[in-house]
Amino acid sequence: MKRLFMAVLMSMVMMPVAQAVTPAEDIATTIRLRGYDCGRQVSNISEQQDAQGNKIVRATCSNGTRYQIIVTPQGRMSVQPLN
Amino acid sequence: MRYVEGITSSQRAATMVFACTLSVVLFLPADSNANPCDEMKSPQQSAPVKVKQEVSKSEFVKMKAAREPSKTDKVEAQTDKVTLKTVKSEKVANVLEKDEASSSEQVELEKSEAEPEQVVAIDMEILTSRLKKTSAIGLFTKLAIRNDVTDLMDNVKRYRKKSILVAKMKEIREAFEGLLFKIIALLEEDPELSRDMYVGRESIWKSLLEVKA
Repeated sequence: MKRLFMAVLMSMVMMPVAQAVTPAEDIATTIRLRGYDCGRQVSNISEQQDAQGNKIVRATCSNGTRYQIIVTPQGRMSVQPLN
Repeated sequence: MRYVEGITSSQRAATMVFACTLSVVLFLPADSNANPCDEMKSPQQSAPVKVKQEVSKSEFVKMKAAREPSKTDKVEAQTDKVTLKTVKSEKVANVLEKDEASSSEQVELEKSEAEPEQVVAIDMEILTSRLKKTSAIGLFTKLAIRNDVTDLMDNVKRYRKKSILVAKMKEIREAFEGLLFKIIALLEEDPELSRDMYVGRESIWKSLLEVKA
């Protein structure tokens, strides 16, 4: 009984915790969620903020296409291909 | 000399044995059936014959008695056969019952599969907080999911206002399932949350339909 308890305890301790996603993977996933073809990671990430307070993120997918993600202050997000 | 002595002693032994056997054969009382001439002998010799007859009768009686239990054995065998048949029939009946039970269980399983899935009660607030806090998906992905959920809820509200929610139910259901399974796929690094979301999908659907305008 003790062994069983210890085994259960060890399995709980050694259970893999949800690993944090990198920004490159996060942006690539967001682009794919919007229906665009993009790899697992993006490169050449750039962030800026315009006058309206919108956050603009630009990144290049593995296929060479560059995308732009615009996040409004209200939390609305849109994805647009740049080329 | 010794060899000759050995031969002579063996010969003596052989002769002794022969003599003994001969005497036994000659002096043994004969059977009644064996030789009718034996009756002519002395009464002492005939008496054993009669005893033998009596013994034979008793033996015959014993044989009869021995045969009689065989009849009972036959009866017992018959009863055993009957019991065996009953046992076999019981076993067959049990097997049939088991088959029927298994078939009924299969029918029940099929019915349960055909029936709509039971709603598992879940706490939506806890589920949403877990989804916000999970590190399996990034910030931009969470924002995208939030946008999709908000759009779906807005559609439900709009259709309810126009009283066409029932007509658009299929469309909403398809959109809901697409979004839910997309989220579950994204939660690859958080299997517990993905499992809870899958298990509580009907409850989530119910809460979506309860959204008021």
